[in-house]
Amino acid sequence: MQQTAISVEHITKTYGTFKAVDDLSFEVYPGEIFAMLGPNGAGKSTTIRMILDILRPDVGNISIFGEKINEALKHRIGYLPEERGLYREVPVIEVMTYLGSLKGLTRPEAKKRAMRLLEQLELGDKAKKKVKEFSKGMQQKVQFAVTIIHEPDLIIVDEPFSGLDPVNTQLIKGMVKDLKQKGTAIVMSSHEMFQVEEMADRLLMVNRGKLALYGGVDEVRRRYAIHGIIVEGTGDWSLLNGVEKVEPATNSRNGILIHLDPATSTDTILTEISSNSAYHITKFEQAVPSLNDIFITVAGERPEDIEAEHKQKVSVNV
Amino acid sequence: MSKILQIARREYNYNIRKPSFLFAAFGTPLIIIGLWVLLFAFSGNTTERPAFSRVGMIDTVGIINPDVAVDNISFEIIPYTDEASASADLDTEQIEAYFVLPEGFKTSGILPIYAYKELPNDFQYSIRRLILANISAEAGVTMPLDRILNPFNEINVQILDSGRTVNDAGIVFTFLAPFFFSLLFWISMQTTGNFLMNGLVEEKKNRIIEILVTTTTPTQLLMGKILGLGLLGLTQIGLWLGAALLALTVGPKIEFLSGLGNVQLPLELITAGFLFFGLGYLFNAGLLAGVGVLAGNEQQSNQYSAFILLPGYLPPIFLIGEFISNSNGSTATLLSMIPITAPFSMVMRIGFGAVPPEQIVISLGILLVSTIIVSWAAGKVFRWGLLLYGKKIRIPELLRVVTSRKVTYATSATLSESGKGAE
Repeated sequence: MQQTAISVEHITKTYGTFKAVDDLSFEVYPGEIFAMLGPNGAGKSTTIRMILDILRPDVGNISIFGEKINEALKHRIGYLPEERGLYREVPVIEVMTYLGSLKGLTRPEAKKRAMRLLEQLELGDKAKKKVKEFSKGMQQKVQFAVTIIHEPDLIIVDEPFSGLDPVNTQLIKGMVKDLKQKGTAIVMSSHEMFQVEEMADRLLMVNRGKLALYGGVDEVRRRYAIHGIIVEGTGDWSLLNGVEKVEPATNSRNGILIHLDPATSTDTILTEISSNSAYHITKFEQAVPSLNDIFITVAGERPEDIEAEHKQKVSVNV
Repeated sequence: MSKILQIARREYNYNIRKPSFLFAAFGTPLIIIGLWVLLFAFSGNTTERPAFSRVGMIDTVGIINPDVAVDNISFEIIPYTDEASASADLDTEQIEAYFVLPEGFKTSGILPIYAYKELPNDFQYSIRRLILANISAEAGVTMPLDRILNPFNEINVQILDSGRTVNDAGIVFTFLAPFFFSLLFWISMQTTGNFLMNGLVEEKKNRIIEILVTTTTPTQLLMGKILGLGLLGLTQIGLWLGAALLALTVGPKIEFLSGLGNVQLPLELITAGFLFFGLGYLFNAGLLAGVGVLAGNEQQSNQYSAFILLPGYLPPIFLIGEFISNSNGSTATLLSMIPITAPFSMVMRIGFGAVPPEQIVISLGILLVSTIIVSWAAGKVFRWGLLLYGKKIRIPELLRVVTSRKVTYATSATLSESGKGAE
């Protein structure tokens, strides 16, 4: 039986009368990218904080690599918190060396690895610059480098791509994939589901502290697959043979989602469209539901509505 | 242990380069030494005026007897019978000045002096010797004139039990030295205390604290900070003591700083300084860390820091007269027993006189126990408040944390939903 990187068993965390996490169980394995998805306030950060022993669950157990979390295990974990920052008045190389040394590296080794990571992140020539001289995106890259400087066996990254431009997002995604190849267990938490769904092997979807969905990404998609196509172009799509319903596609700006009856295949409908001069298409693809769509199906409400409700609640509390 | 050392090293290296530290470490002694030098330079810088050779005298009351020999008079005295002839001789520069012992001089003591030029520095001294010698001769006093003018030459204060002797020239320095010595220790403690609080505020503001708490324990973090900044404080004191030793070695060789030769910084004072201020630093660091972790910004942390540190030195400074006049009196003794004021008060008392050894031991004991209690309570608040940002904390809430059996990190969520975090 494969050893788990994280094993969470029926954890619950209550703040007063509010259940932030409610009977949550899941496992994360080495060499996989595991996505924790859900709107803001769903309980992702509380769960992560419990995994890292910052908060203690009221009920349930958590083990890391088969053990209760302890000081030695902390050296095997890299954590990129959602609320993050660096010492602003200090050269980047010094900050990285210091944080590396706190993770158990010797100072020379930490410095060597910091330099190598900065080179990899295209920041090698800026090692001696102070953090405050870096743009937000550059700081974000340094944060990521700090998370992996000690080559941890498990990394937990909370909203890893926030603040990054598309080029740097790709750069970090590439590094995450490399870590996966090396056998590192990677937990990525995000409320922007589209950002991680393309990378994740398995996912956990949380809503209002409860498990909403858990399993392999492909398996989940198959489970919630739609028999239909998404097209862009002109024509009255509802007049086509074998069409059950036509509606705007949620994950495509100009796309139309055409639901087909079970007897009609995508090949059949494509042939019909291409042979009829009343239709002109610029895009034709198999309809695959986004995780956002699946979330709406599962939770019965839109993530953004839950986020808005959460924000309102937080502002009342503050 | 290695994490504590890493944190200590970082705190030391980061803060030692701060302009505020460099100013406090080098600027303060330079300013003090500079002021001292200026003070002495100006006080010794009196203009030497040319001496007179002939001075006229009109004695209308018959005090001056020509047969009384008076030494150390820097000019020849020419007697006149009336002012008109003396004035004429002054106008023709036969004499450079004249003075009159007028009617009723014995009761009024008024002595008119006439001159066109400024009087020499020793003029009054010579006239005083002349009159005093004649009055004492008339009264049949046989005591040497110098003793009548100045009944004692030098004070030698024996500070009982301390083995120290202080002479007249060094008496001001003797009382100033312990005060400045305590003040420098206090400045160092305040500087490092502020660094501790501002560092925490910065780490929370930058959110790097989120990474630190998953890497170290709050105890390691707190101990590392206190150790690093304590070493920084010692560096500062080392620099100041070095500057003081330099001043005490070089100063006496410079004429107007010769008084520095009489300054004593006895070993017991230095030892007491390190012991009391060392413990005082730990006591205050605990308080500052416990409160600083809850500060939302630097301004707030500076206010808290002033609130904690001012009571430690304002009472001894305002009551310094009590310390000088009666260093073993009830006020000084009481202040040296209260943990907050003990470092400043006890070190000053030891500097000013002999303190009963049992009082030193009791004061140290109270300070040590208080430091342990404060550190224990501060450790709880520190852990509880590390991840709280910009929350207004109420005193009852803090008391609940301190008296709780088990304390975990509180977050905005835990507080806003339940006010919990401590069980």
